[in-house]
Amino acid sequence: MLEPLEATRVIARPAALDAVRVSPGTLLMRLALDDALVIGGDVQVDDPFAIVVPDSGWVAWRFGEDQLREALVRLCAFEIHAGLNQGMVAGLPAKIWIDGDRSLVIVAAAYAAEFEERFR
Amino acid sequence: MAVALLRQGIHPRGGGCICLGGDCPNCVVEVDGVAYVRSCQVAARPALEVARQTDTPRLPDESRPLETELRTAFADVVVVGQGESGLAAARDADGTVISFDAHRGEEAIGLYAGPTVVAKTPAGMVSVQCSRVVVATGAAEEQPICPGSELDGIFTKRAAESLRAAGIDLGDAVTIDEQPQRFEGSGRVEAVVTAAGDRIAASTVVVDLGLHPRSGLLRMGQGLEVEVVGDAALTDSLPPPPTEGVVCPCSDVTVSDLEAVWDRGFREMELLKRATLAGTGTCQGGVCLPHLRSYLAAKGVSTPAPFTARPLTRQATIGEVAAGYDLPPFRRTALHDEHLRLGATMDRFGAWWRPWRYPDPEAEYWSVRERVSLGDVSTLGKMEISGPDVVALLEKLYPCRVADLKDGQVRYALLLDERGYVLDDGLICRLSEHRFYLTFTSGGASFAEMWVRDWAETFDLDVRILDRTMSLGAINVTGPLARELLRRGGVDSPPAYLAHVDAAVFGVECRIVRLSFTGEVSFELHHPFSDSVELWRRLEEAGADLGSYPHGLDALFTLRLEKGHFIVGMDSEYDSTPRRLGLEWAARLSKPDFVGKQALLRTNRLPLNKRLLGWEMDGPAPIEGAILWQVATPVGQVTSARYSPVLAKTVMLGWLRSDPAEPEGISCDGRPVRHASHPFYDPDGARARA
Repeated sequence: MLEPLEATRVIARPAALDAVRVSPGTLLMRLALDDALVIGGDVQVDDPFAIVVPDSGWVAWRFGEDQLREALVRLCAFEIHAGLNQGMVAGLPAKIWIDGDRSLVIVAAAYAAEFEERFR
Repeated sequence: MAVALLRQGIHPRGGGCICLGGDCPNCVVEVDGVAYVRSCQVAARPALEVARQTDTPRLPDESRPLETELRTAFADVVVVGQGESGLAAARDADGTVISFDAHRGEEAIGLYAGPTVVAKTPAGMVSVQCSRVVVATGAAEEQPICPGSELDGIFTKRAAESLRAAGIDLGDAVTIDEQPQRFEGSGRVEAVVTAAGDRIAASTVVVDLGLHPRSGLLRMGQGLEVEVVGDAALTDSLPPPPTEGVVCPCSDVTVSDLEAVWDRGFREMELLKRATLAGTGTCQGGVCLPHLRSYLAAKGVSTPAPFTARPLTRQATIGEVAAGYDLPPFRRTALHDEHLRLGATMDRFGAWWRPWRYPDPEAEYWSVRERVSLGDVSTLGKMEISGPDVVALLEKLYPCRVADLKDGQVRYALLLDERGYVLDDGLICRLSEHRFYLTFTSGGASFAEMWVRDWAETFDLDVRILDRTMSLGAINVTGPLARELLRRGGVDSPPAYLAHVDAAVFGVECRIVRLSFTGEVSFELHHPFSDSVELWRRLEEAGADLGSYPHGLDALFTLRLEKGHFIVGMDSEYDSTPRRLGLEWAARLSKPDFVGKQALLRTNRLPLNKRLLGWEMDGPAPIEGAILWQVATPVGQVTSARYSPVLAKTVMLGWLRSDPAEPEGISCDGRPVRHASHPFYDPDGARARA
């Protein structure tokens, strides 16, 4: 169910992240004012002190809308909306990205096994 | 179900006034093995197994599933109760509305901050997060409190109407509209003596004594966005004070019981409740609350307020209470399956599963001391931090000097709180002028980011902070042959002691950090999480002919203790200062400022009333936590104790709490203990620095 996710983590000034540039097709999730997770593309940020590092500490589950409703809603402690959702899913910290037909659940790889066990 | 039972001439509980409104305990039964079920709130259907409630209800057996589903829902408004006022409230509300109707078996049992309403429903538990709650729970009928109220054949007015509507003949029913003096009869009521003293023979008595608002949820929601409508908003008038009989039928509390606790000085509502348990049972005060208030009012207590309402308003099974609750998760390093493959016994430490022991504990230990060994240290806290003010921040955070670190250098550091107590320890690695890599203990990792961010904001310093604990793995390559193993991995110039370099090991990009927790040459290889398995296997293969064997936590605890390294939280206590730990050198009091400095300056002037010292003894290690005695006086306790294979004696760390001039004449576990300086093993550190 869960697959390794190769991503880039960008920590920068909030203003620099507001103006971040990514290549076409890149998915950028703004996790916090100073924190972004970038999947599948290049990223340029105008902050000489930015921390931009590869981040393989995540796994992702790609799913369709029906699966979302069936499997996720009952396990989420928060209301899911389009875009980035962050909160506890089945008692584990998770991120849910909803964008039309491109939706995924992201959890730290250290929680991957536990996440799958709780989803069974 | 209550109606069905009464139709058969069966009083669900054997006696007591029936209300059919869910407000009293007088119809509770066991349904399908679940105790404390109000039969008036359950729809009868074929094959339900109903049994009379006993004083010791049986526990559920394996035939009944314990798990209950929890559904989380969201709405603008939640309306509890679907009588006339509840329906109107739901109809008129703006936004999305979720309603609960007790007649459909949907009972709101708790109101929490948010507001969040938790309800039992036939489909399972529901938790609704909303903006506003409307309580439309109506009013409960007052129950008779007098001798004989436990007899069969007594009904409230609404219950009588429902039973008649259901075609049940109540016979020569008599209706009274005042609290009676008593009911008479044996098993079933035969007569009622009214307040005026008239004795009326009747096999059924209907009581029409007035209404009291069902205010439990409203009181539970004090301070929240809760509105009350309909009869639930009625002004509550007090009944006549009870003089005799059972006030609380759930807990069998009588007026005599109230008198007894009043005489003992329990003269407030909450005290009356706690002393008698009135109001703590099945109906949560549905029957007794008005009478308790009236009792106190008659005693001169002015307007006694109802006692505090807390969830749950209804009995719930363990499965219902636990619905949706998940145990705290334990993280797995990327090497979890490798440890299992190697036969490790895994255990939970901190937030992680970690290998405690592999199949050959002796090999774990001696491979570190004599050859080379791999240890999974991925659980260490890891943080990257940069910014124009990074040095200023770290100088304030750490009690050691930071600014003088050169690129590529590593420094061991304590982390202190404002009181000068040791919070954590770890390493400071300088990557460049404005960029550092920090490590923390496995237990301190989750706390570290909050701590660093908090102080950065407090000092208004411009830094970027990234917790990399879960995105990086780390493998400790340790032992006299560690350098050779790294050479085979392609590292010809490994870092010197207390230095770090970035280099590829077997093709995996690593940050190689040189220090030593085991007392031997050690290189921590910090690397991407996704490369952990590949790196571990390559190291394992390349080290096979070097006698490599992995080591787990059990061996590590012995190895580090031989070196006298303390573990935060294991050997240190909440008030451990560097001085008490014997680590004064780690706090540079000559620095202009750092978190905890003022506290250290103050406490350093006080007498040293406890110290963490090294100890040794012959024979096996005592249990950790064992008392240190000076003759017959307890003077401290052991925090870590291991038998050292290389030293052939037991070595320990332990607190000496009292203030003997010399730590002499100490015993532990009935054997003499000698104070010993530590490190016990390789005291000058030649092996680690080799």
